[in-house]
Amino acid sequence: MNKTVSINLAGIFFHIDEDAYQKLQTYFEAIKASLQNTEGASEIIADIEGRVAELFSERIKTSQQVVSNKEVDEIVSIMGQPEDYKIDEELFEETPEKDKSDSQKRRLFRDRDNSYIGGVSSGFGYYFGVDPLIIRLFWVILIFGAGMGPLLYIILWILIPAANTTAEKLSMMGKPINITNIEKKVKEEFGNVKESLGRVKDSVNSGSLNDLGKNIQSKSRSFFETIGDLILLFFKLIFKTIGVIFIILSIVILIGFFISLLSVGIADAVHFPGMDFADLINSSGLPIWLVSILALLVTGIPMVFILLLGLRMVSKRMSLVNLYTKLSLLGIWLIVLITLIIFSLRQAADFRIDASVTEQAELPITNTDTLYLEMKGNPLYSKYLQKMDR
Amino acid sequence: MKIENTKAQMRKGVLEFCILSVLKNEDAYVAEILKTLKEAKLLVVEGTIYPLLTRLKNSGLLNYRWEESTTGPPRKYYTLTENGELFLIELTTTWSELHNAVTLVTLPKTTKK
Repeated sequence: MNKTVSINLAGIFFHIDEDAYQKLQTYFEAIKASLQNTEGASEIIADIEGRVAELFSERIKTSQQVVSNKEVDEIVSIMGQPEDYKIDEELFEETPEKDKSDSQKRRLFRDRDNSYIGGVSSGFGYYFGVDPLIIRLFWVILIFGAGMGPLLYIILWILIPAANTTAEKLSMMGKPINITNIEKKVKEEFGNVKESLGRVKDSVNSGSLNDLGKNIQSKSRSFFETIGDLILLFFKLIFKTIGVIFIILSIVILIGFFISLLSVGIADAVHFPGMDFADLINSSGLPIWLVSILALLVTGIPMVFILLLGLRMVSKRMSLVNLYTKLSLLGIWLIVLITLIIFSLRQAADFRIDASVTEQAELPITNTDTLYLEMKGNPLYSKYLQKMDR
Repeated sequence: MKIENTKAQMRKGVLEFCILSVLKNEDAYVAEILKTLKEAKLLVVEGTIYPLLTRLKNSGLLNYRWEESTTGPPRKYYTLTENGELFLIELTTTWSELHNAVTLVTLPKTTKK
């Protein structure tokens, strides 16, 4: 007797045995890993899934039939090992492949499988090739030493990504990503789950000291993970709130600008008898509607960007405009800005007035008179007068 | 120097040429291309072809359209683009040159024996 799983492969529905499913998943994961640096990997994988679905449907007669290990094995032998999927660029390179796997770069991840809090220490342990215990001790010393330890830990916790996929875990350990390693790792994890299930049973029965450490580990991990999730949720909420504020603000400002400039500038709707605001302030000779449109653009485009930013903050999928549109908007904005600056400079020049007043007065005094000069400081005017004197 | 590597190099060098040649006269979907290549023993496992097709498509030599299938998922029918045809013509000349060269180089040795 076997448990079955239902899967959707390229839009086609299949029943598949659980162990066969495990195998197929490992296979796809290994393909993904071996295509990691290939351009258009997701498209290639979709093509491969489509082909696998096609091969399955050739073998399945009725919709009741279940895909078993045998079919999966057949398909793997038809499709080939994951290594076969690589476009072997290195095949044509001079350096043999050995060098590459030796210099396999370790990447820094958080190891959540062996973590007490966030898995930072364990990740660093793999990265530097030392026992995580040493790094944990170092954290403890930091707490007593400077007090900056916990803060630093939290920052690292946020910055360093967790190793979630098997490929990431392998590159954290500095092992080359290939089918054998992935298989090993997946099996290992499967074993871990079984083991921990057994352990729970055991510790329920005996509650032995040996399990205590593991228990504390898992408890502390879940405790800190919950706190971490809560903090993350909190920041996300703040972030999204700011996004919503951005959206509302920018929309309101945009509508406001639009209505006011449309009515005042273009439709010439606002006219007070005997007083024309537009003529009052505009002496550059540009038609008023053009100035209005320029002003709308120069204030509106940044608002559009803030609106887009807000949408993006609320949902990551909301990327409504592509890069080219953004760049051209930016270009228009710069051009409009420059035009407006030129015209406003011109206009400002119209208002510049040079004037000087000279007053000559004869004082009714004779040569023998003593003159008393009193200097009165005036904090309000002194600066201003100084400027005028220049 | 491994013999396997050299063999693979030889095969992979002509694989792109052969894929384009299969598509020269008629559009085909992956399974048809694979069938031709497998009959010619040019390909042992199917996996190799998918990255190649995507790479050819991304460099503008191939195009594709979706077509419904009664038995399985929709199929991608590949077709040569104009660029692809030019590319194929050039490869064909190179291939015949190479073929001549190889026969020229290898023949005298066997006759001298």
